[in-house]
Amino acid sequence: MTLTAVTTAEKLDDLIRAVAGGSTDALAELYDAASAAVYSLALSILKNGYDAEDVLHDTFVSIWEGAPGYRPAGKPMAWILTITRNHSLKRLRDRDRNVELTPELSAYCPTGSGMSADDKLVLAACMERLSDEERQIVVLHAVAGFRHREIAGLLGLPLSTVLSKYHRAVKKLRKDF
Amino acid sequence: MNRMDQKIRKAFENATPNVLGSVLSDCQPRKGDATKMKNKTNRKPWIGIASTAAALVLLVGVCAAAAGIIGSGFTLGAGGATGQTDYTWITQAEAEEVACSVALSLHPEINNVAVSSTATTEMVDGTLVYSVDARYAGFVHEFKIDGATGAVLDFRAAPIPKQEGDSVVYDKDACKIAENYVIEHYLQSQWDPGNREMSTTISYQHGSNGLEYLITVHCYDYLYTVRVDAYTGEILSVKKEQTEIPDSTEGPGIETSDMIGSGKALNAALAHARLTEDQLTGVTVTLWEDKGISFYNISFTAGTDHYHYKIDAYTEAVLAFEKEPEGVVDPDPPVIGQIMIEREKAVDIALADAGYAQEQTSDLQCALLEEGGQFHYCVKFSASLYWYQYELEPYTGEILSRNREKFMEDKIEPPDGKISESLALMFALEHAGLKEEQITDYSCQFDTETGGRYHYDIQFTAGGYRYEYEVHAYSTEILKSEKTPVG
Repeated sequence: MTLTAVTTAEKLDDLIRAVAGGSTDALAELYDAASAAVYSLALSILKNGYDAEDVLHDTFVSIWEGAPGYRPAGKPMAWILTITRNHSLKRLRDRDRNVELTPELSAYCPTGSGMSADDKLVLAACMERLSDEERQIVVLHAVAGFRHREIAGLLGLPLSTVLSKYHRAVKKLRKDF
Repeated sequence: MNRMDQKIRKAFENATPNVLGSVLSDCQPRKGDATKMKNKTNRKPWIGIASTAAALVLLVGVCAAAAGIIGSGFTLGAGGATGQTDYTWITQAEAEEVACSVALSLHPEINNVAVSSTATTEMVDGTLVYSVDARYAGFVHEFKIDGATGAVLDFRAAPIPKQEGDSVVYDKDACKIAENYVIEHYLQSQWDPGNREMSTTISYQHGSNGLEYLITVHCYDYLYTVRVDAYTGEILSVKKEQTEIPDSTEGPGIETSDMIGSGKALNAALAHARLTEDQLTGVTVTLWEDKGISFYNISFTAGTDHYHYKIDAYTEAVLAFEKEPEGVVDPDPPVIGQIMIEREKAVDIALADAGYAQEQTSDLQCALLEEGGQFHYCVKFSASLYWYQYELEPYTGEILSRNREKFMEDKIEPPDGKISESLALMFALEHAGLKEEQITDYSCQFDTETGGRYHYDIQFTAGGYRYEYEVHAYSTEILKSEKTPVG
């Protein structure tokens, strides 16, 4: 399952509340609903599938630990992706900056066995043609279903910048799709 | 959701691995339900949440530093405003530790300098908030720390006053000063204020009178570098550089779910024109896009008047409008739905009329101006011994006026009087606050690519940073300066 219109903020709030109460079933359901968005954002920041996988893991462990302190404010995905973003930034900082990351496709999707050739091309285009901010904006919009205004809030960017970068990104990708 | 978004979503979803098993095995079982847990007064919630939040604090600071931002202010979402009155609070020392860590992370180039801090407390909506001043690297960094979680709620920075009681300017205020200056002096006639595409970054440097903010404001195709005195807020200098002009991007737009839709766009135009839909004939609404800006192009006739509107596709703002009485004889009336020619086209027309290629000109400027509800392009440039100014009709490209003035003699660049390479390097080093023996990987090239201006491209490395300068070969003006961490 992925985030859809029916996976409302209210539903996610309920799940987090249940996670706070110790329900691992709720955590599994929350994982089902949000893992793609979490992994996508982490991958878009880190550009490395192994690191993104670790962040996916760490994020949901943090959600488990932090759920009792969560106060529903109608933006559960913003809360989840804030945790994701900060875990990603931490990993980025901890990463040995002298180590050159391999730009090979396998680095982006080491465990993506379910990916078609077309999926891999799309992923590679996002990773290679877009700037870091453009990629995060595109992923938050396309995968997490965030509106541009919400993306601006999450990334701390002016709305006009988000809109401009999104449209530039779309133009770049249009050549490949 | 459009087709491209769907493809991206599918690709990322299929790439997502399943780590639920390891997540569940790493989650410690809880005892009791959430209510019981909240009532445990001996639990330090900031420890639990700080597995995320405290780390986040540091990271966001590092992120800001990496982006060259001293402190644009930030607030954490996760656990940042929990306000759990039944929790124990973090100590003052812990709050200061968080603040100092972030302050240190903002200046990674400076080592072994002590941070001094002071803290006070206040209760805000039932939550303890620490106000911490961390003094470091010539700045005082003011933090608001959430007493429940250790998260940074707010942050700003200003230089330490030269003398007690002296005024200082905070980084956020300096940004506003620079942005307002750019808006007032360069952008006033171009677009509605609510729709300007503007991004701002801030760093600082040591000037002759102490600390200065170096603020870059990127708006449309120009980068404005503004130096602001960090003590008085005075604008010290402004440089305007043309950034890369994107390829022609004009064309039909693609509707996305965030856009207001053609109906709302038409309503916005009608509200502006103070008309109702039943008064209209010949209505056309098309989504259009130019340089990343999506807008609805709307044309209609009401009574004896033709109306043309450009409505922002996201905000409903009126970007431009025209009203033409039907009785006015127009020798070349714009076609309904026709949009303005691009700036580059306007420039080409003016240059062709003057008989110059773009590389033969300097100080080239082109702006879309409005006068009495009518728009025109204004193109200015200098070439040979003359200043040229053209006004062009924005839809047809027709030249409305042309003007040519001879330069004052003292403004003419001497054909063979350019400064030497070593002198250009000296000016760059002076700007960077470095000496020649400190730099490595030095290169210097003379060229005229920047707006036809003769300049030296200078690059060197020092102290872990790569410096890039453009120094005007005649005036010695620093046209461009960039400092980026090596690697």
